[in-house]
Formats: sequence, C-alpha cells, structure tokens
Amino acid sequence: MNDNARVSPLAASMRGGTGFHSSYPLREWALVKKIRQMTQDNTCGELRSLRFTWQRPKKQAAEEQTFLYQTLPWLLDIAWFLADAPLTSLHIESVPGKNSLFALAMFANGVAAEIELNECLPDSMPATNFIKANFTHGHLTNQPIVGHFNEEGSILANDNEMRRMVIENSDWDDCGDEIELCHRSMLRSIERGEHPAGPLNSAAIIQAIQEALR
Amino acid sequence: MNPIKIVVAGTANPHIPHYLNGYGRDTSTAEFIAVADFDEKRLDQAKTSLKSRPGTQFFSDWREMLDACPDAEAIMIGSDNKSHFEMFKEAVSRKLHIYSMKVVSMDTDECAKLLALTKDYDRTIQVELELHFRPQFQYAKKLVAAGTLGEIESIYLTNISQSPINYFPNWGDPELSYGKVVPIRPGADVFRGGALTDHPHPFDMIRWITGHEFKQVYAVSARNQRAHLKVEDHIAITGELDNGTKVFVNPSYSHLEEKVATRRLLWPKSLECNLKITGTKGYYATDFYDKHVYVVGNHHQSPDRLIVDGTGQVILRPDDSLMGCFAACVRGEREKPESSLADGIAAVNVMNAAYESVYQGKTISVKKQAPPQHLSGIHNGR
Repeated sequence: MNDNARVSPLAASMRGGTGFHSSYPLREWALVKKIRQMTQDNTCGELRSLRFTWQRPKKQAAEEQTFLYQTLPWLLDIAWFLADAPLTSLHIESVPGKNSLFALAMFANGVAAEIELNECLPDSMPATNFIKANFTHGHLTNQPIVGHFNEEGSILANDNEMRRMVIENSDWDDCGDEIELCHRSMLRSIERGEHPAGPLNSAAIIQAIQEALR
Repeated sequence: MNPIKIVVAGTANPHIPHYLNGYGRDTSTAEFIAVADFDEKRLDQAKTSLKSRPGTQFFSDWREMLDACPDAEAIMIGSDNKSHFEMFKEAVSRKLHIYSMKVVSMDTDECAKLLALTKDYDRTIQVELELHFRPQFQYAKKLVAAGTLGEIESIYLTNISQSPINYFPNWGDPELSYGKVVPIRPGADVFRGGALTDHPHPFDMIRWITGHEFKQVYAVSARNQRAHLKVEDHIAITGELDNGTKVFVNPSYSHLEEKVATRRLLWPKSLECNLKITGTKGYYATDFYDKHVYVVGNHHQSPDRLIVDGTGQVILRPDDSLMGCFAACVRGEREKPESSLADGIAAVNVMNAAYESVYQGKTISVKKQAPPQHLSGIHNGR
C-alpha cells in the first residue's frame, strides 16, 4: 500500500474525498470487534456506556501532538464506532504539560464514553488498555475483575520499582508480604490470648509427613 | 468502654440491616435499645435481626420512640434521605449524639441550616463515610501526606456498584432519595436521586486524601441501563481541585444485578472502588477488594455463580471501625469523629454541582454554585 494514501486523523480532518485511508488502527483491536459483534448480535442488550483505560509509562509516552491528535482520536473513533451514533459533546480535563487527561463524550443515542488517558505512569510499570462496555442486560470487558493488573493487593510504583502490597492496617505500612502479616497477626493474637495454646495438630502433621516421605 | 445506648430512627437505608445484623449482636460498642420504622415489613426485619436482644423496643413512630427512651445517648438516623433533616433537628433538640447515614441531605438549604444548628453542639456527630476505615485508602492518605508520590497530578476514583433498588425500592423514589423531584436533564423522565446520591464517597475520599476542595466539575449521564428506574444509574464526572489536580469520578450503578426482590449479583463484583493516584514521583492504585476471594456457593446470597468478595482487615484499635470511632468520641476517648457533618455536606455540595452540570451541560463551579431557578420551590413537584 502506498504510505501517502494512509494519513493521520489530524491530516484526514483537513482532507476530503476517498483517495486515502485515515489511520484508525484500534478499529482492528479484537476487543473492539468483539464488543461490536456482540452489540449487533444483541448478546447483552443495548449499549449504554463505555469506559476506556489507556495507560503508558513515561518512557513510552508519545509527543504531545500525537497524544492529543492521534491517540485521543483513536479512542473517540472506536467509542463512536461502538456507540454507532454521532458524537454530540466532548469535555476534556487535561493535566497541563503532561500526557494525562480525562475525557467525557456523549453520543446522540445517549451512550456515554469515559476516557482515562495517562502516559505519566512510572517507568517501572507496564502499559494497560482496557474497555468496559455496559449494556442494558450485561457487560463486556477485558478489564480485570479484581486488582489493578488482576493481581491481589495494591500497587505502589516509582520509576525504579513497582511493588504489590497487602495492607491489613495502615499502621503496618511495611505491608508487602501477606505471609509476614500473618506472622505479625499471630503474635498479636498470642498476646491477646486469642491464639490456642499447646501443640495443636503438630504431632499428627509431622508424623504424616515423615510417613509420607519414607 | 461501656456500650453506648443508641436508638435507630428509620431502617430504610440499605446499610441499616448490616448494623442490626452485625453490631446489633455485638454489644461491646453500642447497644441498640430501640428501633423505629413506619414500614411494617422493615420493622419486622429489624425484629428478626435483633431477636437475640430481647430488651430491644420497636416503634412505628420515631418521635414516640424518642419519648419512650429517655436513657438513649445517641441516635442512628437511618430513614430515607428526605426525613433526615427533621430527625437531625429533633436529635439536636434532645442533645443526642448523632450517627447519620449518608447522605445527610441533598438540599443545600437544609445542609446550611444543619451546619448552623450544630455550630457549637457539644455532642458527637458522625456521618457514615465508611471508606475512611479501609486500610488501603488510609494508606493512600499517608502516602500523599508524606509526599511519597510527589505533587499529585491526577486522581481517578470509581465507586461503581449494583443497584440496591430492587430490594430497597424506596431508594429508587426520587423524592425519598433526593428530597425533591428534579429531572436529570430538562424534560427527562429520569430524575436525580440515584447512583450519585447514593455514592458520596469518592468526593469525600478525594478531599480526605488530598486535603483540597473541589473547584469545579463537569458531568455526563448516559441513558439508564435499567429502563424501569426513575432515578439515574450512570454518571461520570471530571473536575479540578483548588490546587489544580485533575480528577475523574464514576459513582454509577453500572454493575448489573438480577431483577429480583433480594440482592443477587449478575456482574460478579458488587463494588468497584478503584483509586489511582498519579504524582510527579510515583503512582498508587488500589481497590475496595484489594484482598479478594472468589466464591461459588449454593447458599451464597448470589447462589451458584462466581462472586468476588473481600477479606477482613486487622483492627488494631477500637476506633479503627465506624461504630468504634463513634463510641470512642461519645465516651470522650477520641476528640472528633473520622467523618463529620461538615465532611458529609462538603461531598453533597460537589454532588449537587455534578447534577447541575448534567442538567445545564456545562462546567459548574462548586464554591460559587448559586441556587438554580429550576430547584426553587420544588418539594413535591411530581
């Protein structure tokens, strides 16, 4: 294909005719195709709202022009494609000088699109792309049901490291290791007289292991 | 600590059964000495919850209950939002400590009157903003205060749940919930009083974590997922704090449930409170179910399907809990409650600005919000 025939959304906005293709690669995203197909099949009823998450570490951030006039148009295009109705309003709340914004779009049929576009994550973090589509009778998403990356615990990151944390109490703020927290809780339970005294099942457990290893 | 003697005025709020089923049996912090509700069915449910407490009295009239319980130290206001104001005023006149379900009131004038009425009140007033007691959110507040994340650039916070309206139908009545009947947009047949009214937490949490106030908001509301609801089930909000931090909030009922009279989830996670804070030095993300379990149980409330549930937390001090904090304040063991009347009302101000934004289709200033013309004089305007 002739590269001159494929233009960016910004360039396409200044051209007319059909002698070129506007570059909207997210239309080929398998997730988008699936949502579109299931909408057409009436699998989950009628679409009502879409939530887009586009996150990148700083080291993968695009130029500001690309961020605003390529990435954001890509997402708005698939929102429009999925809503299957014209865009009626767009509001953008952007962090000055940073590739970080929240956008709210409404379409003529009452579908709302919420966009989180953040290319300011610490460099230790991976990129994530999610869509959550809410319908009258169901949902469709690649978003993890639990946790930021479908991992247990919370995420604390800077450019050098990303830690997954388990926070049982904010006073125990060295809260990375769930099993270490179990030890600490056990000591507290012993102090409070809540942990049963004696050997418990130790003899039977040790004997069973020894026999199993023979 | 002696348990405080508390009466419950109204059980219409979906959280009240949790208190009656849990704290009602635990008499270490609070003893529920009486419950009132005009609704016979709800009162019967309260009787069932408290059947192990034979001394508890039950009334169909909350004023009659207050007259009959002179030994009450505190009141839990658990009625429909519309009745909170009258109960609150009566509680103040009787010098009771007050534990109010959220929201205190969605009426700006009522909120102002309550603040004036309680300016020098020497009793405890705690508004139920329960996310303050979740360690992962407390940790976020510590990180921000310590400067670990640097200067905060943006905050993303969802409070997305299923709709409780199938099993608490009163929650879907715009007048009972919002206090008056106001269309979400001019001419709309969906009204204020739904998901946004039910979810003050994100607005409170962002103030609490950052120490900054909302400056302005812009909001949109999609067509309802649930055609039978009279109140909104979706709203998404962007905004800016007074220090320039950009925020995104989604407090919707976007997780579907079965349309039956009991709580039965379709989407496997009842609640998403996904907090993401981006700062110049770091990033923190957490969720309500940050320590999760998956359960499939024949006798689960949502039977025979995969459900995401949470696990417990370590309580190091009695005031690490909602009722423990309130009781400690009442007993003078703690200076002030974790979430005050002013906190509750500050969240309401942002929520009303968001409703105005949907109505007017433009950005609304939170501080300079004037009483709009379409709200004046509306009380029973259905």
